[in-house]
Amino acid sequence: MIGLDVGSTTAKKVSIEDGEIKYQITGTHNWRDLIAGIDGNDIISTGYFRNTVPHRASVTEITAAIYGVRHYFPDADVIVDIGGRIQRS
Amino acid sequence: MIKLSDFLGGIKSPEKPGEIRELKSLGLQIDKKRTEGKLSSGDAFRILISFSDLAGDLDKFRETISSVTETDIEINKRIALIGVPPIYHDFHDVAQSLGLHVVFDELPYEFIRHSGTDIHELAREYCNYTFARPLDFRIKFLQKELKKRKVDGVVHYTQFACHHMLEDDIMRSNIDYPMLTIQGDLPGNTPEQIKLRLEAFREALERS
Repeated sequence: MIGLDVGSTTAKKVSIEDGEIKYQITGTHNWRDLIAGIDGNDIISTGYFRNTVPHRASVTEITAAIYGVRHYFPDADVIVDIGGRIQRS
Repeated sequence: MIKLSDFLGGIKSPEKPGEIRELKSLGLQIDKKRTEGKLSSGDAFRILISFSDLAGDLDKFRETISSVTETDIEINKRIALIGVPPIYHDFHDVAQSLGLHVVFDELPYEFIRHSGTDIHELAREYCNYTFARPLDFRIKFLQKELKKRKVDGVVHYTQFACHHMLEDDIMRSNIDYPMLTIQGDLPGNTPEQIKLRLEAFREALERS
Protein backbone atom coordinates (compact mmCIF):
# COMPACT_ATOMS: atom_id res chain seq x y z
CA MET A 1 0.00 0.00 0.00
CA ILE A 2 1.34 3.45 -0.91
CA GLY A 3 0.26 7.00 -0.36
CA LEU A 4 0.13 9.12 -3.51
CA ASP A 5 -0.20 12.89 -3.41
CA VAL A 6 -0.68 14.41 -6.85
CA GLY A 7 -0.85 18.15 -6.43
CA SER A 8 -0.92 21.05 -8.85
CA THR A 9 2.85 21.21 -9.27
CA THR A 10 4.43 18.08 -7.78
CA ALA A 11 3.54 14.43 -7.24
CA LYS A 12 4.73 12.52 -4.19
CA LYS A 13 4.75 8.84 -3.30
CA VAL A 14 5.25 7.50 0.22
CA SER A 15 5.59 3.88 1.25
CA ILE A 16 6.68 1.99 4.32
CA GLU A 17 9.08 -0.81 3.45
CA ASP A 18 10.36 -3.02 6.27
CA GLY A 19 9.47 -0.30 8.75
CA GLU A 20 11.36 2.34 6.82
CA ILE A 21 9.57 5.33 5.30
CA LYS A 22 10.50 5.88 1.69
CA TYR A 23 9.36 8.67 -0.58
CA GLN A 24 9.77 9.93 -4.10
CA ILE A 25 8.87 13.29 -5.58
CA THR A 26 8.53 14.43 -9.16
CA GLY A 27 6.69 16.96 -11.30
CA THR A 28 2.93 16.49 -11.55
CA HIS A 29 3.15 15.63 -15.25
CA ASN A 30 5.34 12.63 -14.39
CA TRP A 31 3.03 11.15 -11.75
CA ARG A 32 2.71 7.90 -13.68
CA ASP A 33 6.40 7.17 -13.11
CA LEU A 34 5.73 6.95 -9.38
CA ILE A 35 3.21 4.15 -9.63
CA ALA A 36 4.79 2.01 -12.37
CA GLY A 37 3.93 -1.61 -11.53
CA ILE A 38 1.64 -0.67 -8.63
CA ASP A 39 -1.99 -1.75 -8.69
CA GLY A 40 -4.62 0.94 -8.17
CA ASN A 41 -6.04 -1.08 -5.29
CA ASP A 42 -2.79 -0.49 -3.42
CA ILE A 43 -2.98 3.30 -3.64
CA ILE A 44 -4.51 5.82 -1.25
CA SER A 45 -4.54 9.15 -3.05
CA THR A 46 -4.70 12.77 -2.03
CA GLY A 47 -3.97 16.16 -3.58
CA TYR A 48 -5.76 18.13 -6.26
CA PHE A 49 -5.78 15.18 -8.68
CA ARG A 50 -6.72 12.60 -6.02
CA ASN A 51 -9.80 11.48 -7.88
CA THR A 52 -8.26 11.31 -11.35
CA VAL A 53 -5.34 9.00 -10.52
CA PRO A 54 -5.82 5.27 -9.77
CA HIS A 55 -6.79 4.78 -6.14
CA ARG A 56 -8.53 2.49 -3.72
CA ALA A 57 -9.60 5.42 -1.56
CA SER A 58 -8.97 9.13 -1.66
CA VAL A 59 -8.94 11.85 0.97
CA THR A 60 -8.49 15.59 0.73
CA GLU A 61 -5.03 16.90 1.48
CA ILE A 62 -6.51 18.68 4.50
CA THR A 63 -7.57 15.39 6.07
CA ALA A 64 -4.28 13.75 5.07
CA ALA A 65 -2.35 16.57 6.75
CA ILE A 66 -4.45 16.22 9.92
CA TYR A 67 -3.60 12.51 10.18
CA GLY A 68 0.10 13.07 9.45
CA VAL A 69 0.57 16.00 11.81
CA ARG A 70 -1.38 14.32 14.61
CA HIS A 71 0.99 11.37 14.32
CA TYR A 72 4.26 13.30 14.25
CA PHE A 73 3.35 16.53 16.09
CA PRO A 74 0.37 15.77 18.35
CA ASP A 75 0.71 19.12 20.16
CA ALA A 76 0.33 21.24 17.01
CA ASP A 77 -2.55 23.73 17.12
CA VAL A 78 -2.48 24.90 13.53
CA ILE A 79 -1.36 23.33 10.25
CA VAL A 80 -0.30 25.63 7.42
CA ASP A 81 0.08 23.88 4.09
CA ILE A 82 1.77 26.01 1.45
CA GLY A 83 0.83 24.32 -1.79
CA GLY A 84 1.74 24.94 -5.39
CA ARG A 85 -1.34 27.02 -6.05
CA ILE A 86 -3.26 27.50 -2.81
CA GLN A 87 -2.49 27.75 0.89
CA ARG A 88 -4.53 25.99 3.53
CA SER A 89 -4.55 26.37 7.30
CA MET B 1 -43.55 49.28 11.72
CA ILE B 2 -46.87 51.03 11.22
CA LYS B 3 -45.02 54.34 11.03
CA LEU B 4 -42.59 52.80 8.58
CA SER B 5 -45.48 51.46 6.50
CA ASP B 6 -47.12 54.90 6.45
CA PHE B 7 -43.80 56.51 5.56
CA LEU B 8 -43.47 54.15 2.59
CA GLY B 9 -47.00 54.95 1.42
CA GLY B 10 -49.11 52.49 3.42
CA ILE B 11 -50.71 49.25 2.24
CA LYS B 12 -52.41 50.09 -1.06
CA SER B 13 -53.69 46.58 -1.76
CA PRO B 14 -55.08 45.14 1.50
CA GLU B 15 -55.56 41.71 -0.09
CA LYS B 16 -51.85 41.31 -0.88
CA PRO B 17 -50.57 40.49 2.65
CA GLY B 18 -52.98 37.54 2.70
CA GLU B 19 -51.79 36.35 -0.71
CA ILE B 20 -48.20 36.66 0.43
CA ARG B 21 -49.02 34.70 3.55
CA GLU B 22 -50.34 31.85 1.40
CA LEU B 23 -47.17 31.93 -0.67
CA LYS B 24 -45.06 31.86 2.45
CA SER B 25 -46.92 28.78 3.67
CA LEU B 26 -45.86 27.14 0.39
CA GLY B 27 -42.31 28.29 1.16
CA LEU B 28 -42.51 26.59 4.55
CA GLN B 29 -43.56 23.39 2.81
CA ILE B 30 -40.57 23.66 0.44
CA ASP B 31 -38.31 24.17 3.44
CA LYS B 32 -39.78 21.14 5.22
CA LYS B 33 -39.50 18.89 2.16
CA ARG B 34 -35.81 19.58 1.62
CA THR B 35 -35.19 19.05 5.33
CA GLU B 36 -36.77 15.61 4.89
CA GLY B 37 -34.69 14.93 1.76
CA LYS B 38 -37.63 15.18 -0.65
CA LEU B 39 -36.17 18.17 -2.51
CA SER B 40 -32.63 19.04 -3.51
CA SER B 41 -31.20 21.79 -1.37
CA GLY B 42 -30.32 23.76 -4.51
CA ASP B 43 -33.91 23.76 -5.81
CA ALA B 44 -35.22 24.65 -2.36
CA PHE B 45 -32.69 27.44 -1.88
CA ARG B 46 -33.50 29.08 -5.22
CA ILE B 47 -37.15 29.26 -4.17
CA LEU B 48 -36.52 30.33 -0.59
CA ILE B 49 -34.07 33.10 -1.45
CA SER B 50 -36.58 34.48 -3.96
CA PHE B 51 -38.96 35.21 -1.09
CA SER B 52 -36.84 38.31 -0.49
CA ASP B 53 -38.77 40.06 -3.27
CA LEU B 54 -41.29 37.34 -4.22
CA ALA B 55 -39.68 37.43 -7.66
CA GLY B 56 -41.55 40.68 -8.25
CA ASP B 57 -44.71 38.89 -9.40
CA LEU B 58 -46.86 36.83 -7.03
CA ASP B 59 -48.59 34.80 -9.74
CA LYS B 60 -45.43 33.88 -11.60
CA PHE B 61 -43.70 33.08 -8.35
CA ARG B 62 -46.57 30.78 -7.34
CA GLU B 63 -46.13 28.95 -10.65
CA THR B 64 -42.39 28.67 -10.08
CA ILE B 65 -42.94 27.16 -6.64
CA SER B 66 -45.43 24.61 -7.95
CA SER B 67 -43.05 23.60 -10.77
CA VAL B 68 -40.43 22.29 -8.36
CA THR B 69 -40.25 18.52 -8.63
CA GLU B 70 -39.85 16.25 -5.66
CA THR B 71 -37.05 13.73 -5.56
CA ASP B 72 -35.45 11.36 -3.09
CA ILE B 73 -32.18 12.68 -1.77
CA GLU B 74 -29.81 10.29 -0.10
CA ILE B 75 -28.71 12.47 2.79
CA ASN B 76 -25.18 11.90 4.00
CA LYS B 77 -24.51 14.81 6.34
CA ARG B 78 -27.11 17.38 7.36
CA ILE B 79 -25.79 20.92 7.21
CA ALA B 80 -27.08 24.25 8.45
CA LEU B 81 -25.96 27.23 6.41
CA ILE B 82 -25.83 30.30 8.63
CA GLY B 83 -24.78 33.86 7.88
CA VAL B 84 -25.51 35.63 4.64
CA PRO B 85 -26.39 33.50 1.60
CA PRO B 86 -23.30 32.46 -0.41
CA ILE B 87 -22.32 34.60 -3.38
CA TYR B 88 -21.64 31.40 -5.37
CA HIS B 89 -24.75 30.50 -7.36
CA ASP B 90 -24.07 26.74 -7.35
CA PHE B 91 -23.06 26.44 -3.70
CA HIS B 92 -25.94 24.19 -2.57
CA ASP B 93 -25.58 21.88 -5.56
CA VAL B 94 -21.82 21.62 -5.02
CA ALA B 95 -22.28 20.94 -1.30
CA GLN B 96 -24.83 18.23 -2.08
CA SER B 97 -22.51 16.59 -4.62
CA LEU B 98 -19.89 16.42 -1.84
CA GLY B 99 -22.27 14.72 0.59
CA LEU B 100 -23.44 17.83 2.46
CA HIS B 101 -27.19 18.35 2.27
CA VAL B 102 -28.16 21.84 3.40
CA VAL B 103 -31.24 21.39 5.61
CA PHE B 104 -31.35 24.95 6.91
CA ASP B 105 -30.69 28.32 5.28
CA GLU B 106 -30.70 30.91 8.01
CA LEU B 107 -31.52 34.12 6.17
CA PRO B 108 -33.95 32.69 3.59
CA TYR B 109 -35.83 31.10 6.49
CA GLU B 110 -36.40 34.59 7.87
CA PHE B 111 -37.98 35.51 4.54
CA ILE B 112 -40.64 32.80 4.81
CA ARG B 113 -41.49 32.49 8.47
CA HIS B 114 -42.95 35.98 9.07
CA SER B 115 -46.25 37.02 7.56
CA GLY B 116 -49.60 38.51 8.47
CA THR B 117 -52.85 39.62 6.98
CA ASP B 118 -52.71 43.20 8.25
CA ILE B 119 -50.11 45.66 9.40
CA HIS B 120 -50.59 44.88 13.11
CA GLU B 121 -50.06 41.16 12.61
CA LEU B 122 -47.07 41.83 10.38
CA ALA B 123 -45.57 44.13 13.01
CA ARG B 124 -45.99 41.48 15.72
CA GLU B 125 -44.49 38.78 13.49
CA TYR B 126 -41.45 40.83 12.54
CA CYS B 127 -40.69 41.39 16.22
CA ASN B 128 -39.31 37.84 16.03
CA TYR B 129 -36.97 38.59 13.13
CA THR B 130 -33.54 37.37 14.18
CA PHE B 131 -30.98 38.45 11.64
CA ALA B 132 -30.49 42.17 12.25
CA ARG B 133 -30.58 42.43 16.02
CA PRO B 134 -28.41 41.56 19.05
CA LEU B 135 -26.58 38.28 18.56
CA ASP B 136 -27.87 36.53 21.68
CA PHE B 137 -31.41 36.59 20.29
CA ARG B 138 -30.19 35.13 16.99
CA ILE B 139 -28.05 32.49 18.72
CA LYS B 140 -30.93 31.30 20.91
CA PHE B 141 -33.09 30.91 17.82
CA LEU B 142 -30.33 29.05 15.96
CA GLN B 143 -29.70 26.64 18.84
CA LYS B 144 -33.36 25.66 18.81
CA GLU B 145 -33.62 25.43 15.04
CA LEU B 146 -30.44 23.39 14.54
CA LYS B 147 -31.55 20.87 17.16
CA LYS B 148 -34.97 20.59 15.54
CA ARG B 149 -33.41 19.89 12.14
CA LYS B 150 -30.91 17.37 13.54
CA VAL B 151 -27.93 18.93 11.81
CA ASP B 152 -24.52 17.26 11.81
CA GLY B 153 -22.54 20.43 11.18
CA VAL B 154 -22.75 24.13 10.45
CA VAL B 155 -21.29 26.13 7.59
CA HIS B 156 -20.91 29.79 8.51
CA TYR B 157 -20.73 31.74 5.28
CA THR B 158 -19.31 35.24 5.52
CA GLN B 159 -18.72 37.74 2.77
CA PHE B 160 -15.42 39.55 2.32
CA ALA B 161 -15.39 42.92 4.17
CA CYS B 162 -18.78 42.15 5.77
CA HIS B 163 -19.15 42.51 9.54
CA HIS B 164 -20.39 38.93 9.91
CA MET B 165 -16.77 37.77 9.89
CA LEU B 166 -16.35 39.64 13.20
CA GLU B 167 -19.13 37.50 14.66
CA ASP B 168 -17.54 34.21 13.70
CA ASP B 169 -15.74 33.62 17.02
CA ILE B 170 -18.92 34.38 18.94
CA MET B 171 -20.91 31.96 16.81
CA ARG B 172 -18.27 29.28 17.28
CA SER B 173 -18.34 29.78 21.05
CA ASN B 174 -22.10 29.53 21.28
CA ILE B 175 -23.17 27.10 18.56
CA ASP B 176 -22.22 23.64 19.76
CA TYR B 177 -21.74 21.93 16.40
CA PRO B 178 -18.70 21.32 14.19
CA MET B 179 -18.40 24.53 12.18
CA LEU B 180 -16.72 25.43 8.90
CA THR B 181 -16.27 29.12 8.19
CA ILE B 182 -16.12 30.20 4.58
CA GLN B 183 -15.33 33.68 3.36
CA GLY B 184 -16.48 34.45 -0.15
CA ASP B 185 -15.48 37.33 -2.38
CA LEU B 186 -16.53 37.54 -6.02
CA PRO B 187 -19.67 36.03 -7.61
CA GLY B 188 -19.46 32.97 -9.83
CA ASN B 189 -19.07 29.22 -9.44
CA THR B 190 -17.91 27.83 -6.11
CA PRO B 191 -14.08 28.01 -6.31
CA GLU B 192 -12.00 24.84 -6.08
CA GLN B 193 -10.44 25.85 -2.75
CA ILE B 194 -13.92 26.21 -1.23
CA LYS B 195 -14.94 22.81 -2.64
CA LEU B 196 -11.83 21.35 -1.03
CA ARG B 197 -12.79 22.76 2.35
CA LEU B 198 -16.33 21.47 2.03
CA GLU B 199 -15.10 17.99 1.19
CA ALA B 200 -12.59 18.07 4.07
CA PHE B 201 -15.42 19.19 6.37
CA ARG B 202 -17.50 16.19 5.32
CA GLU B 203 -14.51 13.95 6.00
CA ALA B 204 -14.16 15.54 9.44
CA LEU B 205 -17.87 14.95 10.16
CA GLU B 206 -17.49 11.32 9.10
CA ARG B 207 -14.64 10.90 11.59
CA SER B 208 -16.52 12.49 14.48
